Amino acid sequence: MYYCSMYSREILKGILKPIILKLLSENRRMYGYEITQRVKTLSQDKILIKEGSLYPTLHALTKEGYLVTESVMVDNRTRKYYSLTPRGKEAAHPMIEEVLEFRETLKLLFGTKPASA
Amino acid sequence: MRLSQSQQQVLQHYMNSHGMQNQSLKSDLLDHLSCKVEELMDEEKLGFEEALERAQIQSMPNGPQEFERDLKLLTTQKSTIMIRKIAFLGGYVSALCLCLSILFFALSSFENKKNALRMNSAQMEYELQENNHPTAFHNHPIYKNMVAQSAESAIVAYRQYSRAEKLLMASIFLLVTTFLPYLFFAGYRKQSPEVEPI
Repeated sequence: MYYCSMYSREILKGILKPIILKLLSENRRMYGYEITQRVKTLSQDKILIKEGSLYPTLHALTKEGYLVTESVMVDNRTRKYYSLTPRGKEAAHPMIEEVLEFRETLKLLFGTKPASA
Repeated sequence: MRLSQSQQQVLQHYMNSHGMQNQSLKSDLLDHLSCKVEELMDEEKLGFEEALERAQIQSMPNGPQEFERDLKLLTTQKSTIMIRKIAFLGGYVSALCLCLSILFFALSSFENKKNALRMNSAQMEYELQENNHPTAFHNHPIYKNMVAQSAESAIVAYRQYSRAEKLLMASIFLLVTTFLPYLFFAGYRKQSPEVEPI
């Protein structure tokens, strides 16, 4: 269980980390639910991140030192905001570049427009 | 719509009933579930109970403990691979040492056997020569030559035996410290039942 979207799991597997790092590099801090909603909106409902993928990845990134958390009490519950550490900021740029480069390579392989039926 | 304190407690109870150990992940999921329930109540005008049921199905169909398992897998993957590599390398070197030990032990045995045969053949050679008296064999050049060769052979046999002994010890040590613990631990993990939620 990774994503629920119009794209197959095989295609999307591996880009969750760059997605999280990209969003956090553009926003000072975000919480889990906010990340899923932002991805849903930005991808025009084409990528819906499953919680089963998001939270283990967020925690793994935190453990690896890319993210740091900040707990805030909101409506009688604890909300954890994630933000990039200096190491995370350093890692975000090359990871995003790699995805963009990969996109260009895919264009070379498959062309820029979907093949007509 | 914001959840009331009693509704928050229902969610808290749901999370607690699944026996999650990771408090950090638990608070993440509690907040996520709360957000989801609030969204369903707002956008689809559902009651709290119905919204909670739907949020559980959509967000955590297999319960929140599944997230904990996934996280464990994700964060221990590298070390598990490393442990496996060490265990299999230890097992391989242990098997290699055992094979070499058997080889040296066999060579040592052959050397001893060769020595005994040399002794017999020298005696036979001496006895076959005419005019030789059996009592004078110890002074005969055949005997002296044989003793020199036997001494050399005994040293070689001793060295090979010593090597076999060391390799056997290394093999057992590697097997006991690397491969066997991994094998038993893997077997234990397969046999041990899943922890039941409290």
